Amino acid sequence: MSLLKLVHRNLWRHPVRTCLTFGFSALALFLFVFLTSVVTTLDAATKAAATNRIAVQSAASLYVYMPESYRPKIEQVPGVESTCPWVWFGGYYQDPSNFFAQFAVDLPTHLGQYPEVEVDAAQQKDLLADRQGCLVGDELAEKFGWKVGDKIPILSNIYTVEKGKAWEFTLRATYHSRKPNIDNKTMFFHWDYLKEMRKALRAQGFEAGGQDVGVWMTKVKDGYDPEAVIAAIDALFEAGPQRTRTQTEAAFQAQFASMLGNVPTFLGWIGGAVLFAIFFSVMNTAGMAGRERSRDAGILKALGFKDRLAGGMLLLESMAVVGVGGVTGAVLAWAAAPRFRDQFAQFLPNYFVGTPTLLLGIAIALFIGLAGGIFPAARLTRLRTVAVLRQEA
Amino acid sequence: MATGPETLARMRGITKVYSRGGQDVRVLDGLDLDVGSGELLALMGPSGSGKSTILNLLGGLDRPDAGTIEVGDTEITRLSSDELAGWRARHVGFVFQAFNLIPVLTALENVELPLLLTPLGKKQRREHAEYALELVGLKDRMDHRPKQLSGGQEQRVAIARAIATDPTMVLADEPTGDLDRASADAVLDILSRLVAEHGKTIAMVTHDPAAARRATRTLHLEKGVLVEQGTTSHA
Repeated sequence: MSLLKLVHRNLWRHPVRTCLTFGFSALALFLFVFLTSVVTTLDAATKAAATNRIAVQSAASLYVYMPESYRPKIEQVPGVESTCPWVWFGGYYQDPSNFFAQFAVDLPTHLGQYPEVEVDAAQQKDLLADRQGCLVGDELAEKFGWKVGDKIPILSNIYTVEKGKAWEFTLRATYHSRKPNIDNKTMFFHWDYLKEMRKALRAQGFEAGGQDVGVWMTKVKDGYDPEAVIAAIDALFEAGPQRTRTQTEAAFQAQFASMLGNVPTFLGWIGGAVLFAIFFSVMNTAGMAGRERSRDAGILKALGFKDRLAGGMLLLESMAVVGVGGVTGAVLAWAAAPRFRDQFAQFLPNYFVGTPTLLLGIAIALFIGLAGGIFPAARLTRLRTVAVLRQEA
Repeated sequence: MATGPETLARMRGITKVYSRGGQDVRVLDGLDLDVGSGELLALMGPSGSGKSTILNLLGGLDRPDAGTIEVGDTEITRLSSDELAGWRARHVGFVFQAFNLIPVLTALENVELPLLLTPLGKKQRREHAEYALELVGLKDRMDHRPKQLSGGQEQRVAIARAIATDPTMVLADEPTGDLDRASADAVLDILSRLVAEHGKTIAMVTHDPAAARRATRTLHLEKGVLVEQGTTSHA
């Protein structure tokens, strides 16, 4: 027999109430950690962006392409080290549910611009030598069980010759990015191969968008001010044919988050509201438990236990149900992160639950358990033994 | 005043005022009372006369507005709240009319509860609790929870809990009030035996004349005045 046993027995006086409070706390903290992680994932890509890379896109929209002839003009701007075309391919593997991002890029230039992307040297050599070769993020390769040398048929929603006919690529290399500005679930292939596809499509009378480019990812030489380079590029194309909007990689990444409008703020509000709801629910539950424990508190005090003990035991109950429930929810959200990353690969390929978010969730869970139980516990501590035993008698 | 060979508890000049409906009611006014060691004292009187208040003051559950209370060598009216709790744990066992057992604990665990405040180890605590239950004849029901026991059995568990720590005195507030005659007699048998065979000191508030007949001394409290066997003791 110990006082912990008494706390444990009290927890199971109302098993349904205890289980519901535990479950609600777990759900609330799960949601909080999940929603906070969505926001931090969106922020992380922006924060990890390089300061010496800038993105040139059409001033009209990201969906309006620019002529290929822009490349040598951009490369001649003082301070530009290299520029690389990026074109969205919009395809999927076998089934539309297997959607992931594919980009046609000038692979040698692209790899030179992203030192944070690690590729095996031998694989890189094979990749650059094979026109149909592609570079795939290691997480994507693992998801579909692809090995280097595998043929990968991709069906594109944009570049379609006939329904159900796929373009074939050969997996020549996998990469791993050390920073979240590039996720590990994207496929890159040769810009020249896309140009050939477009030619073939045009030969068959299809509209294939000329040889236009969606974004020119541009690297700035050391010692040059990126803002000055940005201004020079935009000034260069001020008269058209397609006006440009150039921005730092961070600003470019941030616009994807801003495409979601106020969603991140909204998510933050939902997370906060969920926490408030659980807080008041816990206060109510602890209040009920406190009233039920009044007589027990009186008995314990009469037996010689100190005034604060009964309150402390109630606080422990609150911490046990809400704190442990909340911590369980937070840890579950952390453990489920890889599954969520797969599930939301199209929108949040880099979704992650950071250690600070997890620790914040755990701290909030413990705080709610403590704060929710402290007022009923204080009431029990202040109870006059004689009054409570007389009332109950 | 004291009738036993040795006085265990002394109450002197005790005044207690309650506020009821916005009015102060002086329940005890300058009361003196001695409780002798090894006696079974019965306190009788009409409802609201202050019998339970005397018991609560003697047991350190309440504080007087004026006066002093000494139990043994300790003037408990000078003790802080925490000191009083510690003193209660060592020196007082309570038996209440409504039994007041913890419903989620078994009979054995209820009896073991006050022993948690002693330096005894787990095994010794269990042995003491089992012995106390044996004294009240309920060792075979030690794994039952209160709701699985009859009223008389619950009160016997409460008595076992009160004596488990071998306190200086046992204070019983209408211990037979909620019991039928047979159960009440069984409880009174145990209380009488504790005094006669184990030398315990018991102060008991009761309305039950049968309970009073078991007492070694009976005091009547009427209008704040203690009357002993037809004689006014002190007021």
